[in-house]
Amino acid sequence: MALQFLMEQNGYETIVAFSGEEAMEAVARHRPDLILLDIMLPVVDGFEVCQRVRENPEWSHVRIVLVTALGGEAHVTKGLDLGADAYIIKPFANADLLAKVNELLECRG
Amino acid sequence: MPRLRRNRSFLGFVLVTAFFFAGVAVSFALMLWHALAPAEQELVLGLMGRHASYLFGAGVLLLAGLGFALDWVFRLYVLPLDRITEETALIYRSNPSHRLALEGSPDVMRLSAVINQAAERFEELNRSVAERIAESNFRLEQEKSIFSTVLAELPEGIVICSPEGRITLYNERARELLENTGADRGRSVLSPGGGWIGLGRSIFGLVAKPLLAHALDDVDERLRSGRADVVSSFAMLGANDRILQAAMVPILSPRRELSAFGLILSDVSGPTAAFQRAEEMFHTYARVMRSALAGIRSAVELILDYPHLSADKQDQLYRLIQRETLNAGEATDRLTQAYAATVRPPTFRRSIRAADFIDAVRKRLGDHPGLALEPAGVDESGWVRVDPYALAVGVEFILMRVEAEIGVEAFRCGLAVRDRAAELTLAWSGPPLRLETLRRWEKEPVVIAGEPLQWTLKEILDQHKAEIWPHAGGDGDSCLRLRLEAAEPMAVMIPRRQTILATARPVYYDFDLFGQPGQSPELDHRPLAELAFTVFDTETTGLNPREGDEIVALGAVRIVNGRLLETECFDQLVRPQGRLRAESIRVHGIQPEMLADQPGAGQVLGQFQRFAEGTILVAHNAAFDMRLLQIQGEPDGIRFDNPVLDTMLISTVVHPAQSSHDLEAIAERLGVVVMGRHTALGDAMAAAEIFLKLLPLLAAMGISTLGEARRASQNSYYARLKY
Repeated sequence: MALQFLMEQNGYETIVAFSGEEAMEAVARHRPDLILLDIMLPVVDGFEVCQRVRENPEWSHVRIVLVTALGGEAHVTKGLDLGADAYIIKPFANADLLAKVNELLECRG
Repeated sequence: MPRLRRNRSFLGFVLVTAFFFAGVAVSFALMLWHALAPAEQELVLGLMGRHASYLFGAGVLLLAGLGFALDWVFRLYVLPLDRITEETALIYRSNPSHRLALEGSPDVMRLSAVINQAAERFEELNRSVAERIAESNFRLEQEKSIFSTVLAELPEGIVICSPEGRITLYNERARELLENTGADRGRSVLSPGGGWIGLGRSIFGLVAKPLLAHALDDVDERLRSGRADVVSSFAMLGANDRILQAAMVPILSPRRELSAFGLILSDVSGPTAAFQRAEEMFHTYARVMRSALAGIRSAVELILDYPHLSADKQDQLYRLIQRETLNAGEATDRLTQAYAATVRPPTFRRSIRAADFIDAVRKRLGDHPGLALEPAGVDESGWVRVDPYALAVGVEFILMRVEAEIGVEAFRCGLAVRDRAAELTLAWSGPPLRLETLRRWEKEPVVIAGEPLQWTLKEILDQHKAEIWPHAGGDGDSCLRLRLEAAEPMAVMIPRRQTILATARPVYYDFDLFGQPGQSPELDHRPLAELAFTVFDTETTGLNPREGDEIVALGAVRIVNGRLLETECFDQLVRPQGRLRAESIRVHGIQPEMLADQPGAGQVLGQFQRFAEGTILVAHNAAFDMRLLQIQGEPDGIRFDNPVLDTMLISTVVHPAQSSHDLEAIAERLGVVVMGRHTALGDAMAAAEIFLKLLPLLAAMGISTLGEARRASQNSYYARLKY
């Protein structure tokens, strides 16, 4: 909720999903520019969502930022390897998250 | 003594003979005198008066001749026979290799030669008997070796004690756990529980008496109530402040009486310390989090309760919340890192070279014809921390599944090691795997060659804190990546002690000690064979204790139940207060600089007193050494009131006809090889072996108790020698 508030305050349009499946549906329906993806999701976890998004060439423009409380280096490597563009570890500073999102979207042009 | 007696009796014999001859001559002379007429008597008197000097000379010559003849007989027949008697006894009692010197008259020499021949046969017979005994003992020894090797290799310390607490068996691990070493020895003199472990010693010197008494009571109670679980467990402090977990196990006789008890000791210091650190970490974390949460809560409640706070105040509260969340985040990071470094769950993982692990995997795949795994980019210098069997089985399972799922048979495998992480790559030409497929496999039990193992793939990966994921490379190649923990390269490989049967005897046991009664003041009536002895020797600054010469080295070994316990020895250099004499350095070779860092006499004698507690002290020329102990122990109030025996005196008791009773001469006579002569421990060891060989000789003379041995020694000629 805080994340949604933060993004909206900074001028982004947001859709919130509460599970891996909901996330996949939302991606298919709304074609977002960027996904803030939590790893610990019920049933289909963030890694799998990441892999599925990357498998679909139509969604290759979608930027993925993994938001994780699992600080281990292995998770970060795994996430990036599965196609995430960036990661941010909880707890994070709002400014850092915004900077990362801005950077990724600017890159896209 | 018999030599003196022999001299005296021979003198008596000479005198009696002389008196007899004189008596016969005088009687004849008197009878002749009475038969003569007065005129003849006058003539004879006149003749004798005129030739008195001739007559006297003839008499003296006659007596001298008789004396020489008798001395000749004495030296050629009497003395050699004495020596022969003594040395023959020596041959059949102690040293079968000893031979008589061919001295004395031809008859005596013939007798010696015959005895030597008999000795030859005797020795030969002895040897063959000994060989047969050795042969039949060999198998027994082997069994014993297996038993002792197993005991020695156990990670637990084992001590078996008689019901009175006397140690009858222990292994090396028990010594490590219970006996203070090095620097801590000095402290052990004063603190309880810092004693010596050793056969025949009391366990109460190592473990606090109330603790043992409590455990014994507990065991007794369990036995009486017929419980199946009769082991009593307790915690105790071991050597060098280790925390030990002890289990007392009763050993019962067929009549279910306590015939001994065993202590099984394990060192739990490591886990205990880790637990304490983890607990400390948790408490620190809880404190920081509570205070952070308290700050945040109170700030939030202020904002909610007072909506009209000034912007300035509100800003302050928001900053406080931000600061506290940062604190909480940092504390969480610290806890996560420290916890991983502190708490290590038990694991079968070990450090292994990356290349060796890949070899192990490839060997496993040898059973799958058609499945090929080629190494590609294996870090030759890298190490990983894995359970080689479990993980190799896991990899084998994955490859078989990939083969079945995608239909590829050729794989390339790399293992890169960076800092703390290692990455195993299994690559193939073909489509990538899906994560959900992997997740399905993870839940299945690992099946190898049709046999399911006890683990699932997930369990194997969890044991290794491993992460696995698929990766699609360019140009149609795919791979699986497996993230593992890297390990520090092991510079020095520590091999397990090799187990060698028959010679591996690191366990010290003597079950006869079960029957040993407690030591009492009635020691004098006890047979020597049953007593415990401490045989010791000193090296000194010089030879005059009364003039301030001091101990520079003290060595000792123990004899228990007639066995020399070479591993239970005391060997310590001592820093003297005075100067080392040059003559003494030439004898023992101990240089002043070797003594600079050594403990002083007070400390060493204190330790030695504990080492020798409850035993009989034995030394060669003990008067000298005891004098030193007395003089140097005095300032610290250390008194040695143990009974004392002297190998030199015992030698004079059993071999009075021998002229020399120094250590070398006795050793040679008894067939003892002296190693490290003029080192305190070497000489103590030699004296101990000599002492053991003297015991049967004493027994043959009817001297078998401590009291008898002491009395015989006191009566001996050399006992008057005082230092």
